[in-house]
Amino acid sequence: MSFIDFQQVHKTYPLGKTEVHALRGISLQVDEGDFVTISGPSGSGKSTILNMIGCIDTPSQGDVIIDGVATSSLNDQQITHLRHQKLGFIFQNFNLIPVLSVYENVEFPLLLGAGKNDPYASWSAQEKRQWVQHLLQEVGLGDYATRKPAELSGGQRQRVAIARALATKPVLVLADEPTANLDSKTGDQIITLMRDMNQSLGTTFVFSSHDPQVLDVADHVVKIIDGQVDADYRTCTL
Amino acid sequence: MLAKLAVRNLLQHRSKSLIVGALMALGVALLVVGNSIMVSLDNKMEASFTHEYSGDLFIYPDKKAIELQTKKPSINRKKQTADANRSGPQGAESNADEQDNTNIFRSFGSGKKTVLPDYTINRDDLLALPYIDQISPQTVGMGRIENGLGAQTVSLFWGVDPDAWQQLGFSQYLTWHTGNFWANDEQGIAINRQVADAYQQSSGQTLKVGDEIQVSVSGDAGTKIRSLVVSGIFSFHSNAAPQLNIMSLVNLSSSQALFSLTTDTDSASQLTAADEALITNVSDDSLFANQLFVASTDLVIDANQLEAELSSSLARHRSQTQNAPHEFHFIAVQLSKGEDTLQAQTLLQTWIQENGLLWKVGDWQQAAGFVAAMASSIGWILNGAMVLIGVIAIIIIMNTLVISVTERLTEIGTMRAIGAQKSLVRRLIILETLVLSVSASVVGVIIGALTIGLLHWLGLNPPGDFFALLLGGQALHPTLAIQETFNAVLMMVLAALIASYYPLTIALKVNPVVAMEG
Repeated sequence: MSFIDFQQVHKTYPLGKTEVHALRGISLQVDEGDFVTISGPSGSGKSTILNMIGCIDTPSQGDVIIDGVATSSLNDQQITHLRHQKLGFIFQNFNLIPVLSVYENVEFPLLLGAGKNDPYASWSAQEKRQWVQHLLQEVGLGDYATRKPAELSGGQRQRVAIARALATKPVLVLADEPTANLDSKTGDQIITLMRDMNQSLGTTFVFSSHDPQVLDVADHVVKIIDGQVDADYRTCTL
Repeated sequence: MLAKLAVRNLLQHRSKSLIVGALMALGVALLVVGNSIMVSLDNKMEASFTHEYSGDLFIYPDKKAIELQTKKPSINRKKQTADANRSGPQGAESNADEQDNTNIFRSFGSGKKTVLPDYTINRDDLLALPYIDQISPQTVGMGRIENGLGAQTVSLFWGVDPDAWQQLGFSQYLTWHTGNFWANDEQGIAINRQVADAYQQSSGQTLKVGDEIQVSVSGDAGTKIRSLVVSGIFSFHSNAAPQLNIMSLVNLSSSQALFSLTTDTDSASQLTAADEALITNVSDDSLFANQLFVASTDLVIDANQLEAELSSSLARHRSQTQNAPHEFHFIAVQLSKGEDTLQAQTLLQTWIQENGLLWKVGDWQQAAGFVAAMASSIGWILNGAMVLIGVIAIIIIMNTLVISVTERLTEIGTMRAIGAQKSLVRRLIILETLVLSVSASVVGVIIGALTIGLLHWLGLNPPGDFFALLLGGQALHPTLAIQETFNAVLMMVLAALIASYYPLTIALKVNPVVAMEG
């Protein structure tokens, strides 16, 4: 069974007296461990798909099933718990908490409480500390733990965001245009880092991008045009 | 983590935190200073009255109960109807007003409604009550002082027993410019300095100890005049009420005579047969016949006998006057040490009711009359102003918090996206509000306490006649009111929490999708 299953998903937004059809019957599946790129031009519906995978938006019609659970059947508390337990987020604008240090930003999701099935539920404070430091080492920011986000470059901030997204050992990490605000070299580094994490931790990555070069590193590509799946294929990069 | 986040958020938005914090600190400082001054003023007035004039409690006649008891049913019915026709329900209000206006400075008059029935039958019982330490029966009224040579002025009088005053400690708050109280078994008068000055201004004659003056009081029972010897001239230490400027002290029995507070008794005369015959046979014509003067050898006037007869008559009258049941206007009561005034007032009122006495018990504020009412009004006005300031502060704090939350929508959305429940957002906003309001309140308390400390050191001089009256003509040295300070902090924190309600609802409505939109 796929970890993510979109079943004829439609999404319409009101725009004045008219409606905008952001998604028009999308069906797609993502398996655990995939490194998926959702590509397409601006306004094609990439972000809407990511929002639905991230359980921060709901379909107008159809079902979005995450790990066997239809997201429309969950209340706000359950959805929030699902996001915390199984999903990690990397944002286009990094969205680090400005008043927290690099270390504290990465640690933050671990302090939001844990369910009994969460992998870090039984961790001691020291184990959590070691894990956060390990993640910072992995993203190359071991020496930046005490810095504030404002003291970092864009690339460094996105690395912190990647570490934060992985802190709770989620099954899936969502990245909405993670390289959009970075120069191409830094963008490549970030994509490579995510790919490395995908391979070393087995975490599923789904990220949106309209950068054709990104397609080269993905092992599953979904092309969206005008709210519909234009292409959905697997590559043989591995 | 939450506390760290809350504090750092406040520091991050320093300018807004400073504006809101300064506003809160100012509010708390104002509350602390205002309330401390009011409490100090209240304490000073209470101390002035309870220590110097009124005692902890004062007993006064229950006019309404006396009126009800003295009304005869047949007359009553007619009168009640007439009253109802005349004034409707206002009649009752008028009675209530009259009752409430009773205080230790007011001339009660001599009518039955305004006079405490003889309390001597209850004196020992009163003193036997465990919560009562001392009592002082007193009278109050207004009269004229003159010397028959052109010098005259008006004065209020308290009829007092110097011993009772001494026991209550009232006399230690008098400054004697010359002389002192009269000896306890004498009739005398101690004149207030300002009354003595007015007396002097009226004729240029200085009032001295030993001078004999006439005191006259006009009332329902006509005009009563007593010759009294001036025993001293004094001032009250503090003049917590304007009436004290013209309040002189007169010995109790003289005051009772002047204020017609000696109860008249009716008794049938025992006449001999000769007396009866004389009265029956005597007519105006027989008394005033053609002969205006009748020379009679039978009529021999013995001067010694006449003097003895007159002396005997005067002595008998004095004896009757002294032995007759006396009445008072009020009784000042000093409670035993450590007694709770309110509790004692309730107990005493219950005791009075149980004993069928037509008395009521008032506290110092009632004894003080309009002066305490004015202080109380100022307190209410101050509280009203504080509430107004509080409402304005809430609106300003709320607007600032709304801006602060609106600027952090992405941050809040991010937290929600990565797994923070709404409860965490709620706790964060409330914690920020608490940290800000408590810190600002602490600063406000420090500012308020320093201001009060400065005012205590400098002394708060009354800025005008009105405040001079409230302060008893002396500088107020306010002290920090701990309970009110605590209340001020509590009020500010509560106001801040109320102010945070709307921003909180905005924060809780933040959709995680906001984080995605950046």
